[in-house]
Amino acid sequence: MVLKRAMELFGSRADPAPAPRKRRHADPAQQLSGNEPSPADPDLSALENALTKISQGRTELVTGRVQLLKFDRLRKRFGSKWDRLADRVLMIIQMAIGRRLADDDVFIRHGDLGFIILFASLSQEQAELKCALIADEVAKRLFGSDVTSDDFEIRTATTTVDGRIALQRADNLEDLLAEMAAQLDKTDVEFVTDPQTEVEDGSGIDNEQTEMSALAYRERTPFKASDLDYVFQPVWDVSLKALSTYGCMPARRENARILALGEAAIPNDLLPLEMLELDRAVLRTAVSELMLALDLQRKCLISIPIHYSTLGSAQRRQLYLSECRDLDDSGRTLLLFEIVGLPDGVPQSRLMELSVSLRPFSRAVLARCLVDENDFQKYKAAGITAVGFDASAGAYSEAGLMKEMEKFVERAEKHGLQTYLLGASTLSLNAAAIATGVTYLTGPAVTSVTDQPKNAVRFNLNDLFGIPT
Amino acid sequence: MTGNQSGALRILLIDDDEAVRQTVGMMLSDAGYEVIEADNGKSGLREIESRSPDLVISDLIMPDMGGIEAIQEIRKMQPGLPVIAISGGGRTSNYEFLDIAEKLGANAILAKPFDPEEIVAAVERVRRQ
Repeated sequence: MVLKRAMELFGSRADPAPAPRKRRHADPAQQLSGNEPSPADPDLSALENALTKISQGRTELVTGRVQLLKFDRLRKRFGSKWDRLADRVLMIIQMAIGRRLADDDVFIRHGDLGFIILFASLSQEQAELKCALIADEVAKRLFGSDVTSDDFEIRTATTTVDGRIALQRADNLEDLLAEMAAQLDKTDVEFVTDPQTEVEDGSGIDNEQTEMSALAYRERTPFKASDLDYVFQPVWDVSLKALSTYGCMPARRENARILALGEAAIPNDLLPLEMLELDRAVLRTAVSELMLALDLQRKCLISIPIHYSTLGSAQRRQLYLSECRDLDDSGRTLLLFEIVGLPDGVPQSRLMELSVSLRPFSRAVLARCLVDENDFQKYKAAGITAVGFDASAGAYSEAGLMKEMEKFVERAEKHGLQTYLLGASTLSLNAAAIATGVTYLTGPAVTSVTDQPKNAVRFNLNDLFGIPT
Repeated sequence: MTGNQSGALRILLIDDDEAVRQTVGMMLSDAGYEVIEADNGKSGLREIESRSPDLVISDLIMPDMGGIEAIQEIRKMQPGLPVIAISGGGRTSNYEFLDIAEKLGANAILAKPFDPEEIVAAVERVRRQ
């Protein structure tokens, strides 16, 4: 059992959890004595008994460290929509918890919307505050508003006078939330989106920038755009037989060696505001190079990825597109946007909204999908010009990918869409892509990345296979 | 080309499509040839090293090493080994790939789909070269 194993691990530590200090507004009458079972909740009593048994007399392992975070009250807020949204809500809660935990922390689900969290190294106050932050993030993602004590309940493991474990309700939730608000460095920018959209498409909103300056015990270093390099990968227009487009993308380099490129270079736990920062850095690099290319009369197009989480919020989208305002019409006709990270089953209306927002600043809008995407009608209707997929992203063998690619291209072409393939690292996959009719190819097997886009050059099959002419 | 110990010419047929291997293999066997098979360029090269075929027929679009790369390697390993390149399984014209194969030294090229007589005739033509 996870709880038992976690206790064993905690038991091996030299120090027990720091002793909880008295709450500021603790009501002595509410403290449990040995004769008071947890009221009116048999599940809770059963959990308390289990914790008492597992702790095997070493209640200091549990006290303050174990928190029960319950979201059952959310069900009422959703009303009749609950059945449809339950799975997504659960996913959002679990993700919010997972993001806050350190490597040694553990959480398990308890009941429908309860979570037992074991914090390895936090004091009771810190653990409660962390639970409040989790609840706040969940409330923002689901409802676009700050959390209130109506939405959740925190219970903390405490030791009764007769040595039992009791899960005592944190009766100072309002103080906890006030303390959290006081610690956060609020900015002027409020990120609010339509709550229903947040749940349905999972993009979520976070007042991340306000959190970045808080909390001495946060477990991750904030991402900075300067953590990565920004390079250009040539894109081969197969039908025109030319390398005429350069895809700007992030890269992780060590000395001169590229360790990871594109999505693989991006940390997988970026918060939405960090992703915005990354997307803006790519855009700034691309726009700067585009303006230089125009000055030098270089002929090339530049494509840049933009993540759905950046586009999905009106405020973040606006901040992003403000970087394009310096680009005049001649520059805009040389820019391509590629939307990356679209959620599964994204509605056509949403796709259209995103495409329409980007088109005034670009020559065309592309969309990266999964290779088994089969609803291309909506992409065409939304004004997307080309759809593509990343060969390095999936779990297919090369033979399997070739079969899927053929179907992908056939489906896309039926709706008048061009196609592109990224990340193919073998000549055989590129050859299959050409034979299948993919319009654009880019990846290490085509040609290497450069630090700057260059003039368009001829590129044909001989060049692909390194055959001298 | 003298054939193996039994006298029959040993042909290595490399194609990732099992149906093609069966059909073409049967045509060649009926014509009196010994046929060994591989389903991609890499395994084809291993068969060349271990089974010493007298002639290779290779598709060009295959996973895990296609025919173009395989021909490049064959020309390094055994420059004199005759190769017939076949292609045409994709949705678009594959003549460009066949042209490349010829540039790399394929002795004959054949676009799919072809009649059974065509592949046998191509083998005969290459034998006589």
